[in-house]
Amino acid sequence: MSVLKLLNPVRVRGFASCARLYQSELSSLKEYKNTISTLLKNPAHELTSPNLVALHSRLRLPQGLSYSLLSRCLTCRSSGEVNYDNVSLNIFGKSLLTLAVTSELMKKYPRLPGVVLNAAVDAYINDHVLSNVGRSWGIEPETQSVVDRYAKKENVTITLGKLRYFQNSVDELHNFTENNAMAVAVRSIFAAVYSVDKDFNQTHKFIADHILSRKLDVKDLFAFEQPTRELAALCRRQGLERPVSKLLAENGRLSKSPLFIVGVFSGEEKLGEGYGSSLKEAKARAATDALLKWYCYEPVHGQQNVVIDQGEVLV
Amino acid sequence: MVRLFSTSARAAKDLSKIIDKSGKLPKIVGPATIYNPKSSASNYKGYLKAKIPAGLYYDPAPSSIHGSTNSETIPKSFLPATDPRHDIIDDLTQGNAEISRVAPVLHEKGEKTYHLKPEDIAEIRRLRLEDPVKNSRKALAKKFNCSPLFISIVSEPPKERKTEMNQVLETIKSQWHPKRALARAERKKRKELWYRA
Repeated sequence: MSVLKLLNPVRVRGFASCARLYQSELSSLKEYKNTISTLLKNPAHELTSPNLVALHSRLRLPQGLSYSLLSRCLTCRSSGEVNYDNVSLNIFGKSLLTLAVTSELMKKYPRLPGVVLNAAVDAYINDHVLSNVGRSWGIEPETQSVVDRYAKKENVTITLGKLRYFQNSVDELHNFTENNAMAVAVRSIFAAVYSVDKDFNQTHKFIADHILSRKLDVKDLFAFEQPTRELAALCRRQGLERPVSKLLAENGRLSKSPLFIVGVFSGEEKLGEGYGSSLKEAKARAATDALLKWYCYEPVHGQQNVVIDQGEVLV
Repeated sequence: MVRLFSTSARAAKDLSKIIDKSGKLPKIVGPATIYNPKSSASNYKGYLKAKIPAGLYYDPAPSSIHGSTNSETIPKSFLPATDPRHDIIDDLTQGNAEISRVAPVLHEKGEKTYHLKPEDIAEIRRLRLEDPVKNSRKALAKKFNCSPLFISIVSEPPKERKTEMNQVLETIKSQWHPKRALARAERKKRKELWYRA
């Protein structure tokens, strides 16, 4: 609170009249600050901030979710609010999101290797993505200091509908970027939805609408090291014939830009196909393709006995 | 309404070039134009569509199956027993058996012999640790009648040898012309893309 420290009358000793003036200003500033805290912490008092009302109806949040709780979701610990912030909501929201996203991904792609599954979950709920979700929800960050707002005589309910993470200090402990704060607020809102929800269904639908509806191509997350060996190990494990690479088509072998198409076959069945400007490249791509077809298997909707498949192939 | 049989008969005749009804699922074999089953690129009348009766046809995109993980291209043996797609996949991949018989194999590999005993492996490890210069991968592979890759899988050279060889490699790399160094770095990057979707 460096600005408040500057306003401290002790610093301007010698100017008695000024000090008296500052004293009265300071007390009314403190009162302004206290009004914010009281409004926030008092659930009985109906808090009607235009931002909160708009956000609540825009997200179609459940009726039971009070504006006070929603405002708490937007209040980060770094804002300096004592004993009433979104830290605990954030932790719970993160677990909720991880649960919903992981279960959904495992149902959709039962064969994803652990590393890729982790990367996929992260791609859905990392800070960057969640902060974008928050911005698309229209959450506004509070960028003005208390003194500025007081000087403008801004209505106290305005700030309660904004993302409050800003503090007038360059304290290392509170070095918290806007993206982090936005992600924390979004996670807290998911936790708040669960807190007024009777069962997990409503929360799950809320998560499905806002997080799982985003498209992710899991194929892009794969990077193999030795695809041919891995494919051979996979075929051995599944009791298939040894994979054999066969040349399907070629063009301009002796030219500057040759092109080969290689298929990898197990017996008479084609497992994968690859292209490349060398036979080696085409072969590697064919094996990669076959492995992707294995790992990215998606059960049909409504298929019975969708269980977690055998794990990844260890070479 | 009077329907002329001559017209429908002509249409049926034309469509026989386009639709192959021999399989369980009718297949579109040529471009759906009424003029030329091969190409209509230079047709002065323009591109006219054949009137194909409504229904379900198998008409895959004329592209490679590389990188696709959809139901049309997933191999049958990758499906679990409960998957209902078992029945249609045979229809979709009819030609593959024929291709696999005709296509030339890239690297002819003999049957695996499994002729090395655990004692031989122990011997390989001992020899490689004893004198890594004389008993190189190539020399050991020749001696034990297996591939150098197999030697590298089952045994390791002593640590000093590894660091020494790495130092030699670093010296060689440091003497590269910047253009060569750049080309090698790019080649490495390109190769990483082989193993991605």
